[in-house]
Order: sequence, then structure tokens, then C-alpha cells
Amino acid sequence: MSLFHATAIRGALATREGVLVGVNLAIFAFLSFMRPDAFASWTNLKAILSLMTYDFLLAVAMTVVLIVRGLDLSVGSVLALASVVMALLLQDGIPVVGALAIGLLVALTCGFLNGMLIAKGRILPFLVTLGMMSIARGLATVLTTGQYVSFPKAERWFTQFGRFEFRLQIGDSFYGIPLPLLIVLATVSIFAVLLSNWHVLARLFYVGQGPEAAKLSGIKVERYTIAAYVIAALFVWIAAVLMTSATRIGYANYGIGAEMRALAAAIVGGASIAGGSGSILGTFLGVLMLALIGNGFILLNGDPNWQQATFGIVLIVAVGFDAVRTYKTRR
Amino acid sequence: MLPTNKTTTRVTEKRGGINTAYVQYVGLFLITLTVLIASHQTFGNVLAGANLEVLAMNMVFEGIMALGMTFVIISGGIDLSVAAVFAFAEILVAKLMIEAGVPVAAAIIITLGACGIIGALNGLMIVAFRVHPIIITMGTLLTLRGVNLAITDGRSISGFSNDFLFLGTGKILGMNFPIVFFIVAALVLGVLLAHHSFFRQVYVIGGGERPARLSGINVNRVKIVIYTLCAVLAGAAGIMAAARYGAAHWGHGNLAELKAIAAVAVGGANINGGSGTIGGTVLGTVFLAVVHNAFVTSTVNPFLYDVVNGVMLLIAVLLSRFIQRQNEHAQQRTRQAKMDQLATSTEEKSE
Amino acid sequence: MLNVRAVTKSFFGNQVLHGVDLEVREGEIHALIGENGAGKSTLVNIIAGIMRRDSGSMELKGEPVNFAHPLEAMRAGISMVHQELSLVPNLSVAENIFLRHESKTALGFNDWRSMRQTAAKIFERMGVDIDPAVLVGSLSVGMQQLVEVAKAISFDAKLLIMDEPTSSLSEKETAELFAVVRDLRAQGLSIVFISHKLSELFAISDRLTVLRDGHHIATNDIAQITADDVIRMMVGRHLGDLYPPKAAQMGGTVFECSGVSRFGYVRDLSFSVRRGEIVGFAGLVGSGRTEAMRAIIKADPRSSGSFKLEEKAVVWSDPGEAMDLGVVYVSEDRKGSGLFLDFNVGRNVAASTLKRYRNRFGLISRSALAEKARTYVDMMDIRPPNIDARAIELSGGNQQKVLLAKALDCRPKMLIVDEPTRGVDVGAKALIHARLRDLANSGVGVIIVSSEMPEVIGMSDRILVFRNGEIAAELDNRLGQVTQEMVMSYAAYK
Repeated sequence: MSLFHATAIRGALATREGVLVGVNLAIFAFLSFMRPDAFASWTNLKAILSLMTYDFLLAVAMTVVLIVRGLDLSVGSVLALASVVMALLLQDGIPVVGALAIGLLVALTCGFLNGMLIAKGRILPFLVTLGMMSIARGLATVLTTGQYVSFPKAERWFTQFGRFEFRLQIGDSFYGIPLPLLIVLATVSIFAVLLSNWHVLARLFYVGQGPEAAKLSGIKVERYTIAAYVIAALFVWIAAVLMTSATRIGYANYGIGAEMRALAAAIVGGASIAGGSGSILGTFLGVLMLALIGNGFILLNGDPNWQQATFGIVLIVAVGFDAVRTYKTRR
Repeated sequence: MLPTNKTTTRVTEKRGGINTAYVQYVGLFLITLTVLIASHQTFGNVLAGANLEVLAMNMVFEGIMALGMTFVIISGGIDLSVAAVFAFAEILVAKLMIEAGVPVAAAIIITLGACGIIGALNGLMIVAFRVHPIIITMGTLLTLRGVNLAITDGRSISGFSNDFLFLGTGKILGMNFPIVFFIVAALVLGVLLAHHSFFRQVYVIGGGERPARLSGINVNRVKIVIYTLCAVLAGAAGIMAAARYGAAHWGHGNLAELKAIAAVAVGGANINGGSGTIGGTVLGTVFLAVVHNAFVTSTVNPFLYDVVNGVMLLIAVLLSRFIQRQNEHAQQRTRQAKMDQLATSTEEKSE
Repeated sequence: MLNVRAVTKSFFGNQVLHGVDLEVREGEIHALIGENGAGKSTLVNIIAGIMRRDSGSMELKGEPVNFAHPLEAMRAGISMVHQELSLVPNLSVAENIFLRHESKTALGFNDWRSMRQTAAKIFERMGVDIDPAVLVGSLSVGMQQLVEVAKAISFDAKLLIMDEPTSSLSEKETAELFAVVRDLRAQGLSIVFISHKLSELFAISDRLTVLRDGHHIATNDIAQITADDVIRMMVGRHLGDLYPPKAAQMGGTVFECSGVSRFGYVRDLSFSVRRGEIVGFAGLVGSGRTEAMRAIIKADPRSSGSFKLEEKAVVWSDPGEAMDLGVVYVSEDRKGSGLFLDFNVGRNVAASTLKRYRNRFGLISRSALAEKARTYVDMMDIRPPNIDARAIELSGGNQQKVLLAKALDCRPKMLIVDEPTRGVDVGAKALIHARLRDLANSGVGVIIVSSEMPEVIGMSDRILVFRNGEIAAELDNRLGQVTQEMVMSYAAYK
């Protein structure tokens, strides 16, 4: 009966997130039925979840900026830049903590610049972040001349933890649970709770829903907008750390096209380019849906190359679905 | 009462201020020239015929896409799908000719038609869903890029006939065919955009959709037409690129939309719509080509080019934002002057 | 030549025209005057085909007409010069004039030369000298207004409607425009002229029609009436508006504002408000009241200004800081900059005060918030009484109540409400008025900015009349003896 809760149930769960859970379950059931052996195995499910870890982090970053009526096309290339910077530092024998800290600084600087140009410079978010996308990718390529950067000298724990798995014994079978997956789920869950329950983060929704109304309600709109891009950069950095650790390589071509998948997942998950809406749960369901579809293509001997096309179609269908719904309610 | 007293009403309005657009064009032209001459002085050979050809060919496909993008941006929209349409056209025309054995001319016409349909769909969805063009065209970008990857299995297609290769490497009056195409297209579209009543409507829509509808403009129809035009041009660029590279590949033209948008923005168009010209876009394209060339010929890391591209896009939009601010300030000054005048005149009356 | 009979029009159940008549003769300048909201703009929009009438009839030269589209009206010879300029700044003067009826060559290319020549001819006929080839954006506002006129008559207009064409013109520009208008009359055009400036109407028009609350009040020859007559007819008596009693007692000064200026909008504004007092800001639309209030709370930049709250000097750098000190502003634009339309009532009410509803973990306490929201729903009689209803689903009156509740939750010491009851039904209006008076009685200083004269007079203990970005008069209204005529005589440029 409580305020936010009841709306969530009536307004969102009954429609958006409810629909998404339903769609995900349907895909799950369909794949389980078609390929009971291959699909429902823990190895396969683990692979799906592990692969979607990075996309999920970037989609969360995208969701945060979409909430403040923004857009961040630079998530993929900032990931690459942070990865390359950290790998180069590790290669030179800089301690892991230091390398990670500098990587974080690089990512946050990119986010801060995005936010400043958008909030203070009043430039359209897609232009600013398109520029940043090119700049960050370019810098990453310049730093590495396009080569892989390995770091054999780095401390062992860093090269291990990205692939570490907790082994869980249930009955006779062992289940390996990847550590990065746990880290991501924990971090993002805490963030999700704070986003809707901590008054500071909850204000982001007001900023996106009506910037002028938020300003007159005493919310420092520019500061919150900048903060959203910095928070997004933080999640991008986490993805960069995990990816660099898991692959033991820094590479300038990481995350190419990832911004598109992140945007598609966030929009499917209920975020809107008009701002003021979006939820981490919805985004999770959106990423999961794209991952299941991708997995399905492989399992059903479909051409995996069709995956990307499906993402685009899913995005357009979701947008069309929304258009029809708003058309009905506003008339 | 005398109906007219021309001496009191005759106020000539020819302002001292120079048109800001022309200042921008002349400035851009001079900067381009400076970079060109400076790089020639430093590295030599820049102005040699062979290098000029390389210079032009480096940006020509993005330039053709930028021509279509100009229409879209003036109308207040954006088309992120051009690069995917470009690659799609490469692949489709290649498949039609090599795998289906369709004659060259027919293959080209079918390909351009298919691209036109994609563009029309973009426009249709934009007006029907009333969603921002970014989202729609990004959906098209994703879908089409996926299709490109899937139908080629990630491999490139080659083995074109010599007739077809002419479209990429053949020369007319000593110039490569794509460059001739760019020049002709720029001239034709430039004239249309500047003088044809249908395309003049694009400016009105970019200035504001409500006033445009009030003055009787069919906004939806115009939008669909310009997104179609934009996609057809991207398709034409793709066909010529296939001939140029001798192969079609789904990865070709990656990030071309960024360069096309940058060329339009550097060329002085307002990214929020309402202003811009084909001439400006051509200048912007030439500028980007010259800068790119300077990077390639210099010993500076050519990978920096991406960085410079991004920085230039940002500078271009910051600049147009700055000009916009100046205009706002000027408006406020007029307001203040009017208020002061009114205040003193009412004081005089009350005395 | 134009005969409008018993035209009615309502928006969302709110009737704005109650059977209005208007008769315009050939070759006359016909002034249309009335308070804000009297229905002038709606009437001329209907005549020009921009809006459609609900009932009534319209005849042009004896022929019944019914326009579905502004282009139809233009082709029939009725053109309108809009209050806000509708020109495209990046296009040339000639192109703007001939938008959608360009002179074209066979292939659809614009024939610039013929368009420029025709434009030059129109300007010659108007007696002005504007180069048809320059961009509209490079012209002054006065010149743009003349281009608007040229655009209107380029359709071979028989009837020209001008909706407050002088509102953004200087005196010199106005004189130039008037010379053009007289010139057109001499050529046989009929002109309907709307303005708030009485002196202008008397200077230029032949006959004058007064509208009030969507009713036709009178039409007279200009020679037979005086400015005072017109003011009396404009304001009339509004029956059925009951307002709460005036302040029983007032305390010391709660808020003092001195020397507030905003470049281009507000000139050196100083005033003070006492505890328990309601101060009304009257004035015409565009006189700078909203801009002044926004500058005060720093929602927009200001070039100068200092403030005292409860006798202590205070400073703030944005609306949030003003709010924390107790100076709260309620926007006049409830949909655009007041409410969060897709959010529910509870989230809207707590927009400024989220921080206050925390549980022991420092997180938002949903129960505390819901409870508070329910209190406001009861107190403001928000219907439906559902804190989960989205703001966009509420009626205008209930939206306004939510907006006020949001401000009250900030516990203001000084509350500034801008157009608190615009477009709101009678019941909600009375409730909002009562709550504002309750608030003042509890010791809060209240400012009401309103374009509705009866509201300002009915609610305020003191009235400040705004004109041209500054206070033109201060009227004591504790005994309720201020009349609308008095206010209007200061608000208008007499």
C-alpha cells in the first residue's frame, strides 16, 4: 500500500517489468523445451550470465544517464580506454591498486567532461558522447597502436580473480559460481536499492522528468546531471576492471558496439530517452532477454550472426509498443 | 489626414552586421587553406596530384552521406543509420551481381530502391511513433548491421566486373568517379535545397514544427522524404565504395555517421535544426579531409585522427552554441533599451 | 464586411466565448479590447481559421464561411498578424512573405526575382523600405512586425487581424506601424486591432468593441466614448466571486527585497511583505512579474538585489537555497515547470522535501511519505483522493492543489504564488484562496501574482501594480476599497 511501492506494482510491474519477466520466462521455457539437455545445463546458464555481466554494467550506466534525460554513447570506448590504461600501467609494474585507481580516474574524468559539456555547455547529450566515443577510442588506439596489452608482471590475484569461481556442491554435482558475477550482482543490487530509496539518488528521476520543475523544487539540476554521467563512468570502470582481469589483456577494441546493446537493453527495460523513468530491474531483464535470445540462436543452430539484427528489431518493437501505449493513455 | 507620409515611415533596414553564416564559411575556408598549405610546406607533396586524389577519396563517401545528413539535421532530426545502410548497399549490390547474376544497372537500381525503402521506414517510424530519431535510427543501425553480418557470415564478397569497378576507380575528366558523383550531387542538392519550394520547407520545420504546421506544411511527408533521400545517398556511397575497394564487407563504413555529422556541424549547420547549407557541408567535408590528410602525411600517430575527429565535432557544436548565446544577449539588450525608453517616456508624460 | 454572430467556444468544459457578436465594416480600423482572458484572442483565432467555433455563424461579404484551416481563411482574404512572430529567422524576407504560396517556375523552383519584386511592391504599397533579400533574423523586432503585416496582406487580404502587434515595439516603431495601418485603411482594407494600450486604440481606431468574460459588452464609435468609459466596460462587476476576509492583523516585516534588477526584464524592484499579509502583484501579461519573481529566487540570473528575511540579511545562489531559508516560489506554468506529470501525487508533493522522509537507515520512509501525502490530499481536497494517481491524470484544479501542497511542504516563511488559479474551476479556486489566507493568518508572508484583476483585489491586503518591469503604483487594499478601474489605470499605458 505504500506510496512508491503500490505505483510500482500497478504502474510498472503490471506492464513493463511484468511483461519482461513473462517474455523472459517464455524464451526460457521455449529453449528448455527445444534443447532440454544443452540449454538448462549449469554450464550453459553460467555462460549466459557471465557473458552478460559486462553488458549489464554498461546498461546500468546507460540507465542512469537516461533517467536524467541524457544518453551516453561513449560507454564502450571509455571501457576500452580504462582497460588499456590499466593494462599499460600493470605492464610497467605499477601495483594493481595504483593502476586501478588511475584507471578509475581516467573513466571518471571522461564522465565528468561529458556531464560538464551537457549540463553547463548545454550541448545535446548524443553529440557530446559521440565526440567522447571517438576521442576515448582514439586515445586507446594511440596508446596501444592497436595491439593487445598483456601484463605478465602484475600481481597474481588480479589475473586470477576475473576467472575465479566458487565451487558449490549440491548432491553429486558441482556448480561453479563466477566471482565477477557475484561482485556485479552485489554492487548493482545495492545501487538499485539506493537509486529508489536514497533521497539523493531518487532526485535523479525528478531531474529527468522535468528539469525546470526540478530546478524550481530546489534540486541542483546541473550538479545532478553531471553526477549521473560520473556514476555511469564508475560502472563502466567496474566493467573495464572485470574484463581486463578475466581476459588478462588490455585492448583498444573492447566494447565496440556495446553502447548500442546497452541502450537497447535499457530502453527495452523501461528507460526512456525523454527521461524520468527506468529501473535497474527492468534493465537487468532487458539484458537477460537479449542474452537469452543470443544463446537461443546458438543452441538452435541458428546463425549467431543474426543476434545483432534481433537486438535492433527488439528495440524498435519495444519503442513501437510504448508509442501505442502512450497514444492510448493520452487520448 | 494624409494617408501616407513616406518620409516618416521610410526606414531603411540594411544592417551593418555581416551575416554570421558567411563569416563562418570564409573562416572555415581560410583555416582549411592554411592547414593545407602548412602541411604542404612541412611535409611536401601534399599538393601533388596523387596525394590530392588520396585526400579526396578518404572523405568522399562520408561526404556523400553528409549531403543527405544536412537535410535531416536542418529539419531538426538525426540519422545514425547511414553507416549501416552504406554497408548494406555494398553487400546487396555485390550479392545481386555476383551471386544472383543480375546485370550491373539493374543491381544498382534495386539496391538504391532497397535503401530508399529503409529510409522511408525510418521516416515513417519517426513520425508514427513520435520517438526521437536517435532511437529509431539506432534501431535501424543495429538491425541492419546485424543483417549485414548475417548475410555475409562476416566474410567479404569480391569479384566484380570491370564495368562495375568503374564506379569506384574510373575517371571522368581526370577525377575519380565518386568525386565526380559527390560534386554533381552537391550541386544538384545544393540548388534544390536553396531554391526548390519543397525543400525550403525543411528549414521551416527545423525552425519549429508547430509554426510549420500552422503555415500549412505537411510535416510528416517532408520528413519521410528527407530520411529516404538520406538513405538513398548512403546507399549510393556504399555502391561506389564496393567498386572502390573491390569488395563488400559488413564492417565498412563503421563510424561513418560520426564523420558525416561532424562534417555537417563543422559546416555551420545548427544541430538543433533550422539552419545549414550544402555549401557549408561541402566545406566541412573538405576541412575534415584536409585535416585527416595532414595527420596521415605527418609523422604524428595517424590513430590520433579519431581523437581529432571527436574534438572537432565538439568544437563545432560549442561554437554554434556560442553564436546562439550571443544572439540571446543581443535580444536582451534590445529589450532593456526598449524598457529604458518606455520608462523615460512615461516619466515625461506624468510631469 | 465581416459579420460574426453568437459565436461560442469552450476548452475542456471551460466556456470562454458565450455567444459573441462582432461586425467589421469595410475600410475601418476596429479595435478589440478586454482584460486578459476576456476571449479576444480566441475570437480572432476563430475568425482566422486557426480554431473552430462550437456554434454561431460567420459571414464574409454576405457569404457564410467556415474555415477549417488558416490557409482557407487567408485565401478568402482574412489574414492574421500573430502576437508572437511566426517568421522563420533563417529565411529571407521575401521567402517568409510567400511561404506556401511561392511564385514558382515550372519545375517547382522558387522564382526569387518575382517574389522579391512582388515583396518590394507590397512594401512600396505599405510605404516602408525593407530589402526583401535580407534574412528576417537580421531585422529589428519592429521591422519583423512590418514583414508580418506584409505577409498577411500578400494573400490579397481584405481583412487584417492584428493581435497585440505593438506589444514588443518601441514608440517610434509603433508610430511607423500605425502609419502603415492607416495607409492600408485608405486603400480599403478592414483591420481588427487588439491592444492593451488604450492610448494607442484611441489614436488609431474608428470603432471599438469591448469583450468581458467571453461576452460582447459594447461597440461604439471612438469619438463617442472616453478612456474611462472603456475601462469601466472592461472590468465591469464580477458576481459570484467570494473571497476570504482580509488580514485581521499583521506582524512585522517578514521579507524585504531591495534593488532587484534583471537585464532586459526587471528594473530596480524593491518591496516588503509583512507577516500575515497578502501582497498582490497586478499587471498586464508581459509586464515582467513572473520574470521578477524568478529573478528573486534566482531561478534566472539577476544583476542586483539584496534581501532580508525576518529582519536578517540573507543570500542564496539558487532556488534550493532560497527554499531552505523559507522563500518558496510556485510556478505559473504548472504543466511545464511546476509538476512532474508522470509522477504520482505523493512523489510530486515530496519533490522539494524528500530529505525529510527518512527512516532510521537514512532511506526514504515510504510510510511517512504516504502519510504526509494523505494529509495534503485531505487538506487540499484533492480528487480523486488517491496518492497514487499520476499528476497528468488530474484536472487542472487538482493539479494546482498538488502544486500548492508541494510548496506548503517546504514550510515557507515567504510564499510566492504565480497565477495560482489560472484555468481552474470555481470550487478549486475558492479552496486555494481559502488555504492561502489560512497560510497568511498563520504568520507567513504571501505574494500572489495574478492577471485576474478580481483575484488580486479580492485576495490582497496591498496591491503592487507592475508595468514595464517596475512597480507603477502601490495601493492599500485592507479595507477592500481598491477598484479594478484604479488598478487598470496604472497597469495600462494610458
